[in-house]
Amino acid sequence: MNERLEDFIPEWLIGPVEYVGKVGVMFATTIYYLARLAVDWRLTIFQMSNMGINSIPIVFLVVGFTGMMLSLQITTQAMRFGTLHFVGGGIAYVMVRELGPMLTAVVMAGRVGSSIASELGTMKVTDQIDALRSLATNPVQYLVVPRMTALFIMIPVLSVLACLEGIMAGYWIANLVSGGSIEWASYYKFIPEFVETSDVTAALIKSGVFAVAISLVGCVEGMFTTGGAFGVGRATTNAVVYGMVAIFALNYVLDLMLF
Amino acid sequence: MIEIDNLTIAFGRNRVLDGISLHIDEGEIVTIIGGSGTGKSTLLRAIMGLIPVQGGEIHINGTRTDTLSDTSMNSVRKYMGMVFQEGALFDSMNVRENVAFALRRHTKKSEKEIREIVADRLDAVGLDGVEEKWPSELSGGMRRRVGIARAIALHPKILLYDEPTTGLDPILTATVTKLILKMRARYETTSIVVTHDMGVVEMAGDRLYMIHDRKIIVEGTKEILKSDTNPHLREFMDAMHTGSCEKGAGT
Repeated sequence: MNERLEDFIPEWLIGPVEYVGKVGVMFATTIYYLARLAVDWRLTIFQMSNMGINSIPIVFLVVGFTGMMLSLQITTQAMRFGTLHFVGGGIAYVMVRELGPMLTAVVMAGRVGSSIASELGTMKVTDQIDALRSLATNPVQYLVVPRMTALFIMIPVLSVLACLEGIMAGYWIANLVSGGSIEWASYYKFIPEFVETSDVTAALIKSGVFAVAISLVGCVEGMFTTGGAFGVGRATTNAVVYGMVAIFALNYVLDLMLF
Repeated sequence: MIEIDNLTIAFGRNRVLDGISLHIDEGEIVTIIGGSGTGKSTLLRAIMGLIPVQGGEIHINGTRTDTLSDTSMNSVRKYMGMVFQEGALFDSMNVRENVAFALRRHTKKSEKEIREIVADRLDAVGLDGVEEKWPSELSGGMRRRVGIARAIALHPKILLYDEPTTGLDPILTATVTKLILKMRARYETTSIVVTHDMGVVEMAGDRLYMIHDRKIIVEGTKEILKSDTNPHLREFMDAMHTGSCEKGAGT
């Protein structure tokens, strides 16, 4: 019984199949510990602060500027066609359904996905993960569960805050560009018409899925790092690249399913 | 205490150990010697359940461990300790947190009791006043000793040492070797020491195994080092002594 994976599938497919297998096993193991409520809340709260709260400035910067850019484009066109009353609703619609959750996730993939991969990768190449296991501690329970739980809570929270901030930044630019014609009351008036409760729910679902993807990719890259410092660098790069590709791909699939 | 029967380990198509068998009795210090890349550390990791095995059996204290799940293996690991080559200390924790790690996770002891045990274990390895230091602030020898203190925190019955003296100067090598003996005297541990250092073998080991070309080629008490005519053992011994002489001449 010496059959191996490479005996059954083409060589070029081995890497992707193996990667999907690692992600699947890590996800299943994480769910196993979450279902048993075997979560170290002290570590989880630390990670919520470390990865979530500390990311607020960069998320706000990126989403704030995007809201300003969006407002500049929409307000300019709205002034041409005399539809200024739709500016607030339009900005909020795009921000809640697409840009808020996705930009937050992209920023988190860059900032947090890379830090997870480099931290766990360094632990792997210096035998610290084997040391954890030798001390009768499952590394997925100790390292992955708190990180995934923390991101699963914090990315939706950050997305909501980012959406609000993007909409506010949009109002500021709309007011400036229209020479004061767009006031808060008129800007806000059509937002509830454009953005429904289901849009907010969908945005939260998307953020949760992105959080799982970012943490899984970062953890898999880190936990399976080989090759010393070079390997840690490669794992960090992969965590960001694969994380972002996963976000864009999942965003499209979720858009098809949710809207 | 530890029985290994016909053990085979491979990484992909590369077979590292091929049908090796050995046993270690309670309270013994057994050394495993052999050239680099012969699978000595792999053997230790297999005993600790850190890597899967492709054939054979491992029995620890009468329990077959090679078929246990990682979760079940954790209950066996609680009475084992492993000292890694470079210490493998958790670099995001200070010395106290490193040594206290297993105590915090696997016992319900109060912080006061944990502090006392940490102080006792650090005292056992001859380190005082380093509790607040970070691993990056420690020398190589200190890291190994903190690694030993962390491994003995739960008072294990079995200690596995993975090249504990590699890269240390002769004085620190002697210190770590004496520690291995002291751990047995103080905590009645059974020990397996993977080493290249013949000083460790001669000073601390009760028996030895030599691995060459994926198999055990020499086994016996340390007296065998002088009498056995196995060409690979003789070559290994000659190279070690030549290396020692050259090191001595260099200094």
